[in-house]
Amino acid sequence: MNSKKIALCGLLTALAILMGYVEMLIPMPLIVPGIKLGLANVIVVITMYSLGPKTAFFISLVRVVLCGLLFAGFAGLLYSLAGAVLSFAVMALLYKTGKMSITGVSVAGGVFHNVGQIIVAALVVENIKMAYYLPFLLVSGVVTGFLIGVVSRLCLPYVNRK
Amino acid sequence: MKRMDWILILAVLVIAGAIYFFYMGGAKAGGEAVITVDGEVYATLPLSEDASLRVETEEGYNIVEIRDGYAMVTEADCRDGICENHRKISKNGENIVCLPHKMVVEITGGENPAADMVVG
Repeated sequence: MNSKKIALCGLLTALAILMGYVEMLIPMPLIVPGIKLGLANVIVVITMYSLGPKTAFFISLVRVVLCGLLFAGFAGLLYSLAGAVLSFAVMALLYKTGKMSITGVSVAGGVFHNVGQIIVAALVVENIKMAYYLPFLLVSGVVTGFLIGVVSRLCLPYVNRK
Repeated sequence: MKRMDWILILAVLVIAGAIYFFYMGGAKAGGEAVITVDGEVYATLPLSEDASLRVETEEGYNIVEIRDGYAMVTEADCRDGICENHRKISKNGENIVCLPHKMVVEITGGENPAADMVVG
C-alpha cells in the first residue's frame, strides 16, 4: 500500500462519513420508516470500482462504526451494520461476476441494505410482520440505488484520473 | 446499463409487488389492535370503540389511540418519533412499530370482539 493509496482511503472514508451526516439533514417523506437515500453508498461503490472490493469493505465498516457512534447511537449502529454488511456482500459478489454495470451493482446494494435492516428490525421486535414494510423498502431501494449508481458512474472517471 | 441490470431491477419490483398483494390483497378491515412489547402481548383494544392507552415500556412510553376505527400512536418519548408520524392503520396485518421501545401495534381479525380489554 503506497502513500497515495493511504491518502485516498482517508479522503474517501472522510467523505463517506460526511455523506452520512448530509443524509441526516435531508428530510425524507415518512410514508414508511427507514427510507434513506444511501448517499454513503456512492463512496463505497466508487471505492470498489477504483481501489477494489477489499478496500471498499474497510471503508464501509469504518464509516458505519464512526457514523453510528457520532450520530445514531448504539442501537442505530446495529441496523446500519446489518444493512451495510449484507449490502456489501451482495455488491462484491455481483462486482466479481462482472455481469452487471455499476448501476446494477448499486441497485442491488440499495435493495439489500434495506433487506438487512428489516431483518434486524424483525429480530428486535420479535415480529415477522415487519415484512409488511418490505415492498416499500424494496422499491425505494431500487430507486435510490439507481440514482446512486448514476452518480457513481459519473464520478468514477475523476477518481481514476491520475 | 447491461441487460442483467434491467433483469435485476425488474425482478426486485416483481417481488415487491407480489409481497404487497400477498399482504394487501386479502386485507380486510381488522377487528382489534394488538399491542405487544418485546414480543409479549401488552393489551388488545377493539377498533370499534374509541380509546386511549398509555403503554409503559422499560424504555419509555407510547400513547396508542383508537379513533373512528383506526389505530395510531399519538405520543411517544422515543428519540426518532417514527411511530408518531406513522399513518393511522385499520386493516388486517397493518402495523406500527416503535423500535426504540420494542413496541408493536398490529391489527388482527379479532375473533373475540366481546372482550373490552385484555391486559397481560
